[in-house]
Amino acid sequence: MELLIVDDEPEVRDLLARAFARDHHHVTAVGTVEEARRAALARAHEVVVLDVALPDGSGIDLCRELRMKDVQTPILLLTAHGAVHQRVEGLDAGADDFVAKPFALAELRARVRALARRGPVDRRDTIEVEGVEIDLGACLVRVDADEVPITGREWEVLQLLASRRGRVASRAEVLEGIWGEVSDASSATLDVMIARIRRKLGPRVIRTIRGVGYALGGG
Amino acid sequence: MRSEADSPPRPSLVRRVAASAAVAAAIGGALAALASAALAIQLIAAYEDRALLTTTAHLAAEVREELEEEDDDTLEEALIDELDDVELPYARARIDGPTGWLAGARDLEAAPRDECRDASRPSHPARRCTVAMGADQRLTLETSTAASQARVSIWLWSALLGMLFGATAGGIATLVAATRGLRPLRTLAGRVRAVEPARPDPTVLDPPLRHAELETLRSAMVELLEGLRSSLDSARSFSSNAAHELRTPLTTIVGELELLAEQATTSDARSIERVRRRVADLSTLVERLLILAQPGRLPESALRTIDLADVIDAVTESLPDDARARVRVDHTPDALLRGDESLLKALISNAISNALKFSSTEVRVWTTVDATTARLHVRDRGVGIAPNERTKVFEAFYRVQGAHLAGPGGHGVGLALIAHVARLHGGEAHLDDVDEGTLLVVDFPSWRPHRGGAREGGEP
Repeated sequence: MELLIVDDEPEVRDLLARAFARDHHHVTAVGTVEEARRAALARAHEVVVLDVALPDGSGIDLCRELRMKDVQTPILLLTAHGAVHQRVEGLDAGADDFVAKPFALAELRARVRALARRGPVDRRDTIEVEGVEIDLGACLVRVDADEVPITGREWEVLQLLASRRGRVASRAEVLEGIWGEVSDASSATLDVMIARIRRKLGPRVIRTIRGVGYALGGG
Repeated sequence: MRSEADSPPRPSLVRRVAASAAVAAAIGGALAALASAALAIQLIAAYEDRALLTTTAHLAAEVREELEEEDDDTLEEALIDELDDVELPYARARIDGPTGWLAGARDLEAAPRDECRDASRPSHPARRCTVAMGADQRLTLETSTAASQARVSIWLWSALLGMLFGATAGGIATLVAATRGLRPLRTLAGRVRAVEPARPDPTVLDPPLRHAELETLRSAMVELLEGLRSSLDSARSFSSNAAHELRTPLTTIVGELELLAEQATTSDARSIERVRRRVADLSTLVERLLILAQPGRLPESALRTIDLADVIDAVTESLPDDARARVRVDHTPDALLRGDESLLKALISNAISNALKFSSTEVRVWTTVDATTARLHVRDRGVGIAPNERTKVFEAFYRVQGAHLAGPGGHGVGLALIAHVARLHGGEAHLDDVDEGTLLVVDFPSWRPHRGGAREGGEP
């Protein structure tokens, strides 16, 4: 797997490079926004791990810029700042995931794997399924033009399925993509989420394909 | 806010000013009325004296004329005749010659010539005046002044009424004037109330007020808010910088230990695991302190719609199996709020692990929601917290008496963190009164969509 790792702390950069290299990934590790921009535009990567605080700018700004230049590679943001709004700002800028330092390497590896498996997502602003309008830009869901309260977890499930449109996402893919692991607990929670989404948005928004997984919209 | 609601109603400044003004107006009104009444009485008395003198002089002239016309009349007869024509109440007269009494009422005493004197006897107010009649005679005329006396008491009454009217009118006028005059103060109070303590913004107090006294007060408040804001800002930037400085080395340590553990021999692995666990504890403490170091309230841009059920599930999922088996969760659907998921996770995880730590039986977690509040309850049946400690436990580093004996201890920041995260969300945490164990209640402002609502779909 081709990975781009951007962190200005040489120790952290080195740690991540070694950790992912041990998993037999091909790693490009850089320390500035400028180098990262060049690397990201020069060749396609499967996942970008991007630190938010860089000496010559912000990782969030770079993320937004890359999305505008139509680079749809999954981006995972790393932050060491306490400011919680960075998480929201990062996701708004088009990042796919967000990990706070200090993190467990195992968790970071699992999330990077999940992002790689999921691949680039559909970032069209609004999609419509069965009379339900899903506004990916504003993170809003409307039924008959009325906003319906949707929670963080429900949104993640919807967004993941929305990114597949017609395609079916396997149960394991959804679990790894959102919980970072396949376990009894996360599996049970996914059932609850699917039930809640159907209760709020109508039963036909999410289709279950037995033994395979889930897809958005009726067949 | 709560203290304002609980305190007894305070006296109104406007009413106080109006009452003072009414008293001042009453005293002033009374003094003015008394002075003018006294002056008026003086003037009336002088006027009546003049009138009585004129009448007396006229009577004297009439008597003399009568004597000249009717030669056979005595002085006494002439006086009686003419006195009949005098239209004064209880008029009596006497004529004196150089040697004394000549005619009329003997008991009348003459006043000095061309002057009037008080002639009152008990219960008979009277006045008499004396004028010259011819070359060597004097005529004294007396009349009752009962009517004038009554007029004096009418004047006193009107003075009293004047005072009452002055007090009432002065009081009401001042009430109106003061209410109007103090309106800018209410404007200022309204602006001050709009200041959010967690996000003090001095521009809320703009624009400047027109009146000097209030403007002084306003600019003092602006300075106060500016100071407050800058200290909050520096606290925020400290928290952010400290976070960066602490988390980066921790990331390296944790990561290197994980890599080491992957290729270590069994004996090394045990020491590495010990170090890793200590570092994990340290990370937890650092995270908790960093949360506590965040001042104020979360900015709107940091908030997402969150269902308490999601966060509770995420926390219970991450518990070890034996602990998870002890937690019973009852969700109310759509306990929604605007918040930060990682902070809420820290709150709920602290609440549940505290409950698990200080009890050995079932821990109940449930949520309720209404139009204004999304409420989290965490109930255990453990050792409990004494009522006198229920407020103090929310202070950082406060440990319940004897808590270190109870077994595994935390850092003493658990409840402080819970209260702080609640405040960051505009909420509030407290311990409810229960017979056994503890009941932690955390209130958050609940959230509803702007329009419409959830469509009840249900399974087909």
